[in-house]
This record gives sequence, C-alpha cells and structure tokens, in this order.
Amino acid sequence: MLSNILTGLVNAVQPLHLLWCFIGLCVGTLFGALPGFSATMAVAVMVPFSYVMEPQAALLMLSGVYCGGVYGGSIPAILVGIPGTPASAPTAIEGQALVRKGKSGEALGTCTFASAFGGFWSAIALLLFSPLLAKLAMKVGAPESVMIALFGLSVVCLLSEGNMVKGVLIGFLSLLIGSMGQDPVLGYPRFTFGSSALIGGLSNVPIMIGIYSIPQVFDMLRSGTDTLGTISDLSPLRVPWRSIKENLVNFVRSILIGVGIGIVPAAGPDVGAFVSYNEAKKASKHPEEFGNGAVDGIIASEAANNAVTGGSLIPLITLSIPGSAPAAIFLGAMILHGMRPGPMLFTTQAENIYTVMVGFAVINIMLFFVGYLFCRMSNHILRIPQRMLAVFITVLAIVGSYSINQNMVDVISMFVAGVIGWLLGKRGFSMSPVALSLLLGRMLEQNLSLTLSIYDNFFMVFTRPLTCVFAALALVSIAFPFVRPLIKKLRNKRTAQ
Amino acid sequence: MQKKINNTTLDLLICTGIYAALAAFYTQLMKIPKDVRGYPAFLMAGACLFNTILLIQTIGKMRKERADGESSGVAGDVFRSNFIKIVTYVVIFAAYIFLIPKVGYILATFLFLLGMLLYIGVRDVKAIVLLPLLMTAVIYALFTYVLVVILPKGTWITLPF
Repeated sequence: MLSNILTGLVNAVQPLHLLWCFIGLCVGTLFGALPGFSATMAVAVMVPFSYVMEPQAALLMLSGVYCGGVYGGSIPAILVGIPGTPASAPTAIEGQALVRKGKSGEALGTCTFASAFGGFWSAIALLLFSPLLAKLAMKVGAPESVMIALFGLSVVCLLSEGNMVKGVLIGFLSLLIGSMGQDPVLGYPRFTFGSSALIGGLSNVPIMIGIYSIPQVFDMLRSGTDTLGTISDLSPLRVPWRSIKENLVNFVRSILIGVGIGIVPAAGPDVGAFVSYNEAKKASKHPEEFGNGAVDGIIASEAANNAVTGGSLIPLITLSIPGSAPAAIFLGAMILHGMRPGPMLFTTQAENIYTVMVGFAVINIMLFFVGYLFCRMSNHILRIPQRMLAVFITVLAIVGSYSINQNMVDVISMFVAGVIGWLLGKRGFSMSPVALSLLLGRMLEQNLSLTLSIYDNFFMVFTRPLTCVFAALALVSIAFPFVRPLIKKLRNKRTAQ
Repeated sequence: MQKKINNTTLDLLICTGIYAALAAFYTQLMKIPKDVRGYPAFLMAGACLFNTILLIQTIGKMRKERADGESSGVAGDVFRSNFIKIVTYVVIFAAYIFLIPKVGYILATFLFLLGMLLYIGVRDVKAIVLLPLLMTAVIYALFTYVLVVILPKGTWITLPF
C-alpha cells in the first residue's frame, strides 16, 4: 500500500497534473462562487472536456472541480449573504454577520482554511479507508452486488423524505430510462421506438449534464439579475490562528461528520454542513454567538462540507455507490475513462486510483492558495454578468454533450432531460435520484440476471452473510423515513409525560 | 391559462404526462421477448403505482382546496410572469440544437449567441459582435484541435473551415 501511495504521490505532483488540478480548482471555485451554479453542474459540464485526457489527468481535474465547487459557494455566502451552493448556507449566516462587523477578511480566511483542512483530512480518510473497504468488497459476488445496488437505490427514500412518492417515482422512471437499449442478457434492443440511434440506449452523462445544468441556466436567465454587486469594505485577508487553535475539537468533530455523511450514499455537502453547524452550536460554550458572526460556525460548516468530498468517494471507488450528486457524475466520468469502480480497481488500476486519491489530498492543499487568490479577486467575480455566463454555459453543455459520442441524440436527450428536470424540480421532484438510478440500474439488472441464473431459489442468496448485511442496510434506509416520525412521536409523548 | 394554473393542476398535468410516457413505453414493452421483459415490466409497474399514488394525493388536495375555497397558490414561479420567457428560451435552445447539424456548429453557435445576447438585453455593440465571435472561435478551437472532436459541419450550408 505504501509503495502505491508513493507512486500516487509522484504521479500527482507532476507539473502537468498539478496544472490540471489548478485549472479544475479555478473552474470549480468560479462555478461555486456564482449563485445558481453548483459543484454538480461544474463537474457535469467539465466531464466532456476530460474525455480526451488520460485518466489520471482527467480525474484529477474533475476532483479539483468538485473540491473547488464545494468551496467556492462560501465566497458570495460571506460577502453578499447569498450562498453560491446550498452547502454554504450556514456559512452565509455567520459570514454576513462578520462582514457587518467589518471582519470580511477574517471570515474569508477562516472559511478558506477550514475548507482546505476539512478537505485534506477527508482525502486522508479516503486513502486509508478505501483499500480496507475494497478488501471487504473483494468478497462481493453477484448477489451482494444486487443488494449493494438496492441499498444505493433505497437511499432515494432517504433523500426524498417529505416528498417520498415523488422521489421514488423519479427513481423508477430513471431506472426505466436507464433500461433503454440492449438488455444485458440476450442483447435484445428495448424501448428504441424504432430508432437505430437508441439501440445502444441513452448515454448517462449527457442526461446528467442536462439535469444539473439546464434548470440552473433557465433560473439564471429568468432571474433578471446580472451581477451581485461589489463589496466596498473588504478588510485585509487573514486566518485568525488563535480561533483556529481554539476550535481543534470543532474541526475534528466537523471532519468526522463530513466524512461520515459523505459515505452515506447521496447525502451531499449541504447535509454535512447543516448537521455539523448544528452540532457545533450545541457543543459551543457560547451558542448565543451563533447567528451573530461566530467563527466556530464557519469552521463547522466549511470543514464538514469539504470533508464530504473525500468521504463521498469512499463508497464510490470501492462499491460503485456515489456518496453525493457530484460524486455520481464523477462515477460516470470514471466509467468513461475505463475505470469501473469496485474492489478490482485496486489491483487492475492501482496506479491510477492511488494517483487520484493522493491527488485529492494535494488538491485540498492547493485549495488553500487558490481560495486565497479567489478571495482577493472576489469583487471581480461578483461582477461577472451571470445571465451572459448562463448563455455560455448553455453552449458548453450542448457542445460538451455532443462531444461524448459525437452524435446529436445525446444533445437532444441532454436538452429534453434538462427541460423536464426544470419543470419537475419546480414541483418538488428531487433530481438527486436520477444520477443514482441511471448509474446503478445497469449494475442491478446485470447482477440480478446473473444471480437468478445461479440460484433456482432467490432466497438462497440470504445464506451469504454479506448479502444479508447489505440487504439489512437497504431495509433500514427504506424504513427510516417511516420509522423516524414514529420515534419522534414516542419521544414527544415521553417528554409530555 | 396563466392565471388558472395552480400547483395542484400542474401536478395533475405532470401525472398525466407520466402516464402518457408510460403508455408509450408499454407499447414497446409488448415487443420485448418474454425472457427479458421482467425487469422493465417491474419498473413500469413501480412507476405506474407511484404515479397513481401521486395522482390520488393530488386529487385529494384539489378536493380539499375546493372545499376550503382556497388555492394552493398559483405556480407563479413557473407559469405566471415568466411563462413566456421560459418558453422563449426553450424555443431558442431547441432552434439552436436543430440548426447545429443543418448549418454547422460555427454558424449555429454564432447566431445563437448573438440572438441570446440581444434577448437578455446586452446593448453594447462591441460585446454583441465580439463575444459571440470569440466564444464560437474559442470553443471551436478547443474542441477541434485540443479535444479532437469533429464538430458538425452542416448539411444546408457548409463553411470552408
């Protein structure tokens, strides 16, 4: 393992790879810093650009985009109180209060350090836990893969809590769309509607580009706002080291929360930021300061949301289950580059995967410096005309979708998915299950067919311990949204008594 | 139409749309050999079941609203003040996608950017001319020479480069 890490380090710090990391970080931070644009959209739009790159450079650049995207949202959150991404919403509360006190530089410095620190330790967690989980995953056969896919898909219920019918419906529809094209057993073309272009099925990446970019472009175009304005009283940038020292426990807790939430499939940086912020508030000796410019709040939120990035790659690399929406697109990019996630990745593509994992740590160190650079340029970023940028993003999304297979069917599917995604999104349909279902659908069907051909009686699969573990996890995540209100009721009853 | 559509009506329309899509899929399902029909048939049944639950919920909400004499609020965000704007964007985007294989990437992108900049209210003549030119050229160069992607040339009009 050590030799692999060293090889990964040597590869990751090659000048060309560092350049791609830097470019990825800059693009991601820029996307994150523009309200309405998200880390998911940034990764989606950049995937086609990575297509002709060699796998290591491509995945390092996309990792940079992912980390930068999650971090970038905190810049407008602090300076103008508008979170660039939902994950920066808690930062906006404290950051704006600090700006009002004339401490914008301190807020930005703290946020940049906390983001880089949280992200770095999540990369270490990725490096340590992924090989361990991969060893366990070596025992995974077709029945376990079915349960893993079901577990991944069952998270749709967790994600859509409050709107579960809509969430599960979207999950089923996405699986159905994912089943278009040749079936994995006989190769019979399904749901082609007489078109030869659909025999291979619809490509996942263009659909994800559409779903994660077109709705945001529409919102940006119709919002009517061009720029976020300028900040006239930007105080000097500085990291308040004393506050950092006082918050070491807060850091550890937030990073653990972030990595943990990252591992939970599809619970993204926003969940991590909110949970960690609430925990920091509960644990604080001065909870009354929260909301009035508490540095602890910024540290908790930023360390956790960036820690989610590394955490979300742990189940992705080892079990093919993406831990967040950007990670789902990252999975699509890995498959595009011939790196199918799973335990075999650590033997067949050890050099590539260790380069990406070590590179993730390098990227988070670079994030501190790139973040500092962007904070200094924040006034210029806030002045970028957003509607104009939305128009350019449209062109990139269209040309990018075309470039994957060089056909117009991908462009049309991207656009249709985007329009439908926008309309459904407006009516409370969560789009997070789409990426999960599209990516896990094939895995589920292939392994289900294989399992059914091995076992005459399907229930025999439960004689395998790992199958039972994953089946139990799937059951828990399906049951959780139903059980939680009951637990709440019971608690309320007890407190009333 | 703009004034009448509220959130529950919109949900009802979405449910109907999903049923229509499922019906289209069902016609295709019948053409699939029985051996490999099980998985998509299960997915269709699941989608149908949850769409029906959503439909029942929506009808319930509508009845309640009628009984209470209140509306769930106009889906203003979607259909009221911005309806024409959004439809226009959809039409422009669709026209751009239609034109790419017909007149080629370069001309279609230039026209799209020009039209969009004018539509969103950019009035600086330099920006209106230079930005589409630059953006089209940069993306063309990036995809053609760096990413080695052959962009559509066009069947109606073919530019020499």
